[in-house]
Amino acid sequence: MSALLVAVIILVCVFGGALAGMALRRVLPAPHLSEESKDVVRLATGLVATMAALVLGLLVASAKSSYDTQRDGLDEIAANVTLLDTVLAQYGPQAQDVRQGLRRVVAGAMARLWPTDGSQTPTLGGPETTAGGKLLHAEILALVPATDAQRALQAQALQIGSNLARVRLLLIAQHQSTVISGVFLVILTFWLVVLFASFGLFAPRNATVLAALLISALSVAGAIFLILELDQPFEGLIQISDAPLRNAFADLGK
Amino acid sequence: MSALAVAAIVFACVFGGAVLGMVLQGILPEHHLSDPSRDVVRLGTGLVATMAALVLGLLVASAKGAYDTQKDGLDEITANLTLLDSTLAQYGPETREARAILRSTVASAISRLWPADASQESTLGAAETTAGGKSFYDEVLALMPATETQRALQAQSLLIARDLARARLLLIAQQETPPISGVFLVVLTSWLVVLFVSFGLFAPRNTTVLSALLISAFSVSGAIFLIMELGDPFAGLIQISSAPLRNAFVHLGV
Repeated sequence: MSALLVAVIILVCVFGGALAGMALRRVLPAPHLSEESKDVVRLATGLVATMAALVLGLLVASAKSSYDTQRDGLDEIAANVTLLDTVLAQYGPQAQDVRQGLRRVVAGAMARLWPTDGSQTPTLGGPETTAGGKLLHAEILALVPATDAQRALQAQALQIGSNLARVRLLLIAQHQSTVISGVFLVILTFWLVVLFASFGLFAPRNATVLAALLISALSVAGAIFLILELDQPFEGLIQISDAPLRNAFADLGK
Repeated sequence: MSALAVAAIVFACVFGGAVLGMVLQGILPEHHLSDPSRDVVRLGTGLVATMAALVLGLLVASAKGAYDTQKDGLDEITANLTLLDSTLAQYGPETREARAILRSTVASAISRLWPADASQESTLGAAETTAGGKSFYDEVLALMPATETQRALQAQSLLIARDLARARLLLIAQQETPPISGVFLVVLTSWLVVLFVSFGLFAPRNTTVLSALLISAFSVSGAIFLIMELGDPFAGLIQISSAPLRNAFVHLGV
């Protein structure tokens, strides 16, 4: 389910809660809504409000940090790709084929990760990229170093290549697991609905109050949207930029 | 004790506190419940309420943080497994035996961590997995590298295998420390009970107030449920997904 859809559902639930509170106000007998009742309800829900606000805020922060981790992983890949290309260039013209191969693999990986056609889902762990990477590794292994310098460069290239593979595999694994589980989301939404119902219960009916409740519900749903959106760094509205990798790509094999 | 049971007990205590407060209201002499008395009680419990809400919110966030750390550990294991297998594959057909051991060890580790039979407990530190890992390590050590490249690949495999073992041992250690100690839980619950007694003490007796208190008590014990559930990421309703590891497993030894 897309982040936007979940956020909209939560917005509907939360604002629906406020409306239900307002509807209840009509139905309930007057003593139920006395000052004393209001005080108690306000105190009890105040506890839930503080808790929900804290959890939401901290969840946004942790989603942001997991997004940043994936962005850092991608930056590391971009840096390693450039480094690998430079090391191969230093090796000599014998490595020219490998460098062209690297360029092709990176081009393919970028096309799959940021598809120009919006209808395609971005894939991080494409088997073509894996196969291409393995082929590159085999090609580097097959180089026959003539001098000590070439031997050192070959060893270095192999190390960088294996580092690249590790960072990529880590990104793939991180990408497959979601940040927030369904149960967690249900409990959080329940808190918010309860809160807004209690707001609605003691709210006078006028457009200002209604608008204020709507905007608050929108803000809260926006926080959930942020959490879910940051969890999918290669899809949706908030995406990791392809600029570092594209810049690295531009200089490959030259 | 399961998270649900603990949450149910906390709920019973907290809501019981509110009911107790309401009963006390009938027993206490009139002037004990005067407005000035009420103000003082409110001031005192206001402090406890803020404290409890803060602690609960932060505990949920930190439980989520600990859960994420364990998920990251599992992601690292997944990435390293694939890398280890492909490094061995590059070494040559001599590693067939080692890769077969790796595959069977991972298979048994997965089935122990996410048992198909729900009545079995999920175990991370199974002795069989440790033994399998050790015999895998011996197998890799016993390889006789013929070329410089094979020597490098062997050294690299041993390094990755050690990383894997470290990540696993760390996960096991993290699993063994409970998310929240019993004493902590008792103190926290006592704050909540005190709060709800004070709410009940000055609450008018009607269904609206009673249901508001019921729902608030429910929300608060929901937070405790979340904390306990997130504390055990391989059991219960909130579980770390087995998908990344299973996907990696499919490609092992192939």
